[in-house]
Amino acid sequence: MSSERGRIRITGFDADAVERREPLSDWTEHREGETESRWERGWREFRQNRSAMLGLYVVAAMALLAVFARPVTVAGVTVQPFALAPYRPDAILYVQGLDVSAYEAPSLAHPFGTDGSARDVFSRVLYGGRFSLSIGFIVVFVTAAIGLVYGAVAGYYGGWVDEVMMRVLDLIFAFPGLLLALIIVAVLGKGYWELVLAFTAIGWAGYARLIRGEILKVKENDYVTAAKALGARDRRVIFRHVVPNAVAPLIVQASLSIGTVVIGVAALGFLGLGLPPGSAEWGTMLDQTRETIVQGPGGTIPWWVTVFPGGAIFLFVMSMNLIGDGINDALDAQEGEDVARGGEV
Amino acid sequence: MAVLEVDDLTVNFYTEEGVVTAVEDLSFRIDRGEKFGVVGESGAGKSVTALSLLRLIERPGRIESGEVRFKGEDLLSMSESAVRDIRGSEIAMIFQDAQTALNPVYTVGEQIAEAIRHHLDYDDAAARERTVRLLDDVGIPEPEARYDDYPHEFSGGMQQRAVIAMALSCDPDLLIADEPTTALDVTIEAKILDRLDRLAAEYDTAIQLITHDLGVIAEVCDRVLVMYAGRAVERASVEELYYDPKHPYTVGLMSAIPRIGDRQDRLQTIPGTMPDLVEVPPGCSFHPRCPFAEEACTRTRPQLVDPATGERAGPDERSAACLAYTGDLDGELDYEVEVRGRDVDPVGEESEPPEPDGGGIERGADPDADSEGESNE
Amino acid sequence: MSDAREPLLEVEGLTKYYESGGGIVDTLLGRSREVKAVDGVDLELYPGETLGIVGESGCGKTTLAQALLRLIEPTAGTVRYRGEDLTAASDDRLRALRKDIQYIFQDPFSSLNPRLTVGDIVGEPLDIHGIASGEARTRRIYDLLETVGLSQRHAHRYPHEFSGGQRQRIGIARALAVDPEVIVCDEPVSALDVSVQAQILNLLEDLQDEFGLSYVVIAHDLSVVEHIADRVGVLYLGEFAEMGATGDVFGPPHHPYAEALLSAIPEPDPGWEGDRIFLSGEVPSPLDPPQGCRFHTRCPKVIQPEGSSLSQSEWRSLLDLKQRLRDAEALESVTAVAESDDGAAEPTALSRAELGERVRAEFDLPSPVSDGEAERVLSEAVDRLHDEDFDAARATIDDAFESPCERTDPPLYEVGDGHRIACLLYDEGYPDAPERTGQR
Repeated sequence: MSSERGRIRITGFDADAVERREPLSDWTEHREGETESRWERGWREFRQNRSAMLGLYVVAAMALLAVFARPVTVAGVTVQPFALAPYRPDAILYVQGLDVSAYEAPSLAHPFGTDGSARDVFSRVLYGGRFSLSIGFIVVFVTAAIGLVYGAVAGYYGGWVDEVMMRVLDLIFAFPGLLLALIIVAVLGKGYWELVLAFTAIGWAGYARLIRGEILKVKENDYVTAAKALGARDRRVIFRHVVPNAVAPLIVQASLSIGTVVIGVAALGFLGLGLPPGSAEWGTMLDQTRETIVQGPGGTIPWWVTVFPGGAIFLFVMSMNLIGDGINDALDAQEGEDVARGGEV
Repeated sequence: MAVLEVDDLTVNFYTEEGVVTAVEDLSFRIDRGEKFGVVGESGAGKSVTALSLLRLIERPGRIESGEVRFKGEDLLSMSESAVRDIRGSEIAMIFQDAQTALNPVYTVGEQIAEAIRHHLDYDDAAARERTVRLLDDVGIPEPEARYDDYPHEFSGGMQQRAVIAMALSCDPDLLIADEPTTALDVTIEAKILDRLDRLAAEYDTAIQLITHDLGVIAEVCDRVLVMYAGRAVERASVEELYYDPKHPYTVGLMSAIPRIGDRQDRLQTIPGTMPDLVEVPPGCSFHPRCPFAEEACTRTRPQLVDPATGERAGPDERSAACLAYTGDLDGELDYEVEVRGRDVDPVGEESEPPEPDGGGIERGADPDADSEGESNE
Repeated sequence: MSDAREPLLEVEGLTKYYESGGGIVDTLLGRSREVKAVDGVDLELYPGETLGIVGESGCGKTTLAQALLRLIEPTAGTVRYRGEDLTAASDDRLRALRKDIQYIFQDPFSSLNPRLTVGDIVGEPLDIHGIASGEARTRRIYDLLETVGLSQRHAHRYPHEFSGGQRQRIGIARALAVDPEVIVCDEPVSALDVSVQAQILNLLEDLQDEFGLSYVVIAHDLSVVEHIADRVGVLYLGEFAEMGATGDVFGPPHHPYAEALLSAIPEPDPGWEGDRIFLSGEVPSPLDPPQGCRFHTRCPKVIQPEGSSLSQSEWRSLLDLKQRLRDAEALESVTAVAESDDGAAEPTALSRAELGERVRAEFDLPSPVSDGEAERVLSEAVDRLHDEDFDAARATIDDAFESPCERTDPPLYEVGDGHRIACLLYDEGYPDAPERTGQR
C-alpha cells in the first residue's frame, strides 16, 4: 500500500505504429455514403410517410384543379387558357337559355347537380378552390412571416425588448380572434382582401410566441455563442445560426394552420360575413344552402348542394392536417438524434 | 456464493440502419457482497447490460439469448410480475442522472417511503422512520426536515444520495450503479463512494459498478470486467487489471489516462474510435486500433481464455480475449507495466528484486488470495 | 520564472454578477438578488504557456472563461490583451480582437450548427473576417481539417455524422482558422471518452508547439490539468484560492480547499491509499457567499480563536453546529437520528442529558470537549436548546465560537516564487495557527 500517486507507468502501446501500418482489413472507420442535410433528411422521412404523401397528392390535385378550372387573364393576357369547369361559376344556366332548373340532382351533364340559382355546382366547387386555397396559403404565409420576425427579435435580444414585445402580444391574445375578424369585415365590407386582413390582423401572434420560445432554447446552444466568439455580427448570428434551427415548429404550425384558416374563412362565409353572396367560395356556398337542410315531410333535401362544397372543405383541411403531421414527424425525428448518438450505450 | 450469474447474454437492437448487437455472448458472475466493476467507453454496451439484467430493454432492443440467474433463478424466463417484484427490492439500480430518477412532484421522503411500504409492507409511521434513518445513513443532514423537501431543493450530490437511499431501502442483494458519480464533483464523489462502500459492507449488498472512470474502479471494486464493442475483453481482479493487464485494449486505456504524479510529456493514445456497432470490424473488433494486431486478428474472433494456459476460461476466472494467448500470433505483446515499489512483468514471468525502498517482491496479487494485495511496506 | 516576460493577457479584478429571480417587477422593486459568479479575479497568461483553471461546479469557471473574451459582459474589472483594454474596446475593435483570442467549447454536440456542413463551419471565421475567399478559402479549410487530424473529404459532411472526438477537432479547426494567439478552452475534453481525451490533449499540445499558442484551459479534472498546464489557479466560489506553477500547486504547501480537492481524486491504482479529506457540508450558494473567507464554512483547517485548546476536529464540529443552528427551527435539525427502531423518543421529549448526548452524537463531539471554556459555552447552548429557545442558543454560540476566518477574506499571499495562496494560515499574523499543510 502506498500513498504515492502515479506509481504505475505503462509503455509500449505504440499508437503511431497503428497509424503507420497498412490497414489490416477492409473495414474503415468512416462509413462512406450519401451525406444529407437536415432538410434533405426531413424530406426523405416525409416521403416515407404514406398518409402525409396522400395528403400532399390530394392538395396538389386540388390546387391544379383550382388553377385550371377557368381561364386566367392577367392584364388582358390569357395566361391560363384551360377550363376544366364546363360553366362559369356565376352562370345562371336557366337564364342562359339552357334547360336547367334549380336544385337538379347530379347527372352526367351536371356531376354535382345545380344549386338554388340553377348554377352548376361542379364548376363552382372547382372554381371555389381558388378562394379557399389562396386565402389559406396567403394568410398563413403573411402571418408566419410577421410572427417570425417579431418573435425572432423578441427572443434573440431578450431583456426589456422581449418584455415589452411580449406584453404587446399578450394584449393581442386577449382579443377573441373570430370576433375581431367579424368586426373588420363589418367595418371594411366584404371582400377578398378584407378577409385576408381580418385573419392576418391577429393570426401572427401565435407564430411570434412559438418562435420566441424556440429561439430562447436555440440561443442557449454553444454554436450561437461560438458564432459570436468568432466575431459574427448579430444579423449573421440570427439568420445563419438561430433562425434556421428554430424554424421547424413554425413550419409544422403553419401547415396545420392552413386548414384552420380555410375553415375560418368558410365559417365566415357560412355566416354571410365573408365574400359577397353568390361567390363560389365553399363556405359562402354553404350559406346559401342553409335553408335547404331541413325540409318538412314530403320535401326532398337537395343534398348535393351541401355535401359537395362541404366535402371539398373537409377534404382539403384533412389533407393539410395529414401534411402538417407528416412534417411534424419528419422534423421531430431529428431532434433526439444527436442525443442518442452521444449518449452511453 | 453467486448472487448473479450471467451466461452468454446477447442483446440486439433493430434499428433503421441495421441490426446493432449491443451486447454479445457476455458472461460473468457476481458473488454475494462483492463489488464488481464493468469498465468501458461509450458504445461498449455497459448500460445495455445493466438494463437487460432487470429486463428493462424495450423496442427496438431485444434480449436474444442467454441466461441471467439471480440467486439461482433465471430472470429472463420469469413472468413480468415476478420480475417487477424483484426490481427495487432485491435488485436495485441507480442511474447517472439522479434528477431523472426522482419524481419532481413528490417529496423525496415520500418516494422512498413508498418503495418501503410497497416492498416491505411497512405501515406509514414505520416506513417514515426507516426512511429518515436511511437518509441519515447516506449522509443527508437534517433528515427529518429533508424528508419533506422536493427533489429540486436538493443539490446534485444530495439527490444522488437520496437515490442511493431509495435503492438501499429494501435491503437489496444486488445494487447496480450505472455511472453513479460521473456527473458529480470530485469532492462529493469521494464522499459518496466512501458511503456506498460502507453501506454495501454493512448491508451485505453486492454492487455492480458501471463506469468509464478507472480511478473509481481502482478505489471501489474487487473484480473487474472490461467491455469493448459489446463484448467482454478482459476479466480480472482489480490488482491484476491494473498491475498486470492482459488485453491490449486494457493496456491502451491504462496508458491513455493522465495520471497525477507521472511527468509524461505526451499521453499514449489509442488511435481511432470505438466502432459503430452496426458495422463491427471482422475478427477481433479491436484490431484496427491495436498496435499488436496481425492478419490472424482479422479472421478469427478471440474467445476469453486464461492467459496462462490458453484454455477457455470460466465466468469466474482471469481471462482475456486475445489471440496472443492462444498462440495464434507471430509477434509478442511487448508492452511494459512498471509499478514503483513493486516489479511486475507482462506475460507471466518472474521479476527482479525491487528497489531498496522496501516494496514487496510479490509479482501481483494471487487471484485466490484476499483482495487487499500483498505488498509489504 | 514569470517575472521577466510581459503577460499576453492580464486580468484585474474581473467580476461578474448575475441578477437572479423575478422579472421586471422584482428588479424595479429592488428585490432581485445577485449571483456573485466571479468576484474579483486576477490572473496573467504568458506567451506560449498553458494556464489551467480548476474548480468544481458553481465556482464560476465557465463564467470567468467567457468574461475573459467579453462573450459575457463583465460587471467590473479589466482584461488587457497585449496592454490593450479589452473591456473598454469598441464593438468594432472587439470584433477585430476576435482574431487573436478564440474559444473552444465543452460540449461537442451543441457547439456545431447542425444545419451547416463542416466546411461551412470551419470556413465561417474566414468569411466573417474576410481572410480568404474562393479557391484560397477552400484550400485553407482543407489545410485546417488536416491539421486537426481530419481529412478534406469531411468538409461536405454534416456534424451529426461525426463522433464526439471528431466534433471537438472540428471546433478546434474553427478556432484555428483566424490564426489566434490565445485560445480559451472550456473543458475541452470532459465530454469525451478516455481514449479520445488523450488524442485531443496531444493535439492541443502539438498545436501549441506548432503555432506558438497560449492556452487558458478550464477543467474540473485535475489529472488533465496537471498534465497539460504550466500554471494552475484553483477557483472556489468565484475567487482564486491558490495560484502558481503546476508542480507548486499540486504539492505542499496547499490551500485547504486545494488540498481536499487533490486528496479526493480517485487514483487509478488499487494499492493506493491516500489520506482522503472529506469536506463537511455543501458548496454554499453564490447568491449568498459566506462572510470573510468563502471556504471557512467547510474548511478542515479553519483557524481557532486565540487561546483555544480544542483539537482541530472538535473546532470544526463546533463550527458545523453553529452553522446548523443558524437556520434551525426544530430540535431535529441538531440532533442525531435515533439508532434503533423501537421506542426512540422525539427530541422534544428528551431529558437534558439525553439531548446533550444526541447533539454531540450528531456533530461527533466528545463529552467533554478539550477546552473548558468551550465546554461551558456548549453546555449553556444545550440548556437553551432544551428550553427550545433557539435565539438564545444561537446568541451564546455566535459570541463564543468565532473564527478569524469569518471576519477577513484573505488576499492571495505569496508563499513561493509565483505561488500564492489565499488563506489566513499563510498570513504572518497567525503564527500559532494549526499545522499548515506541508510545513512542520
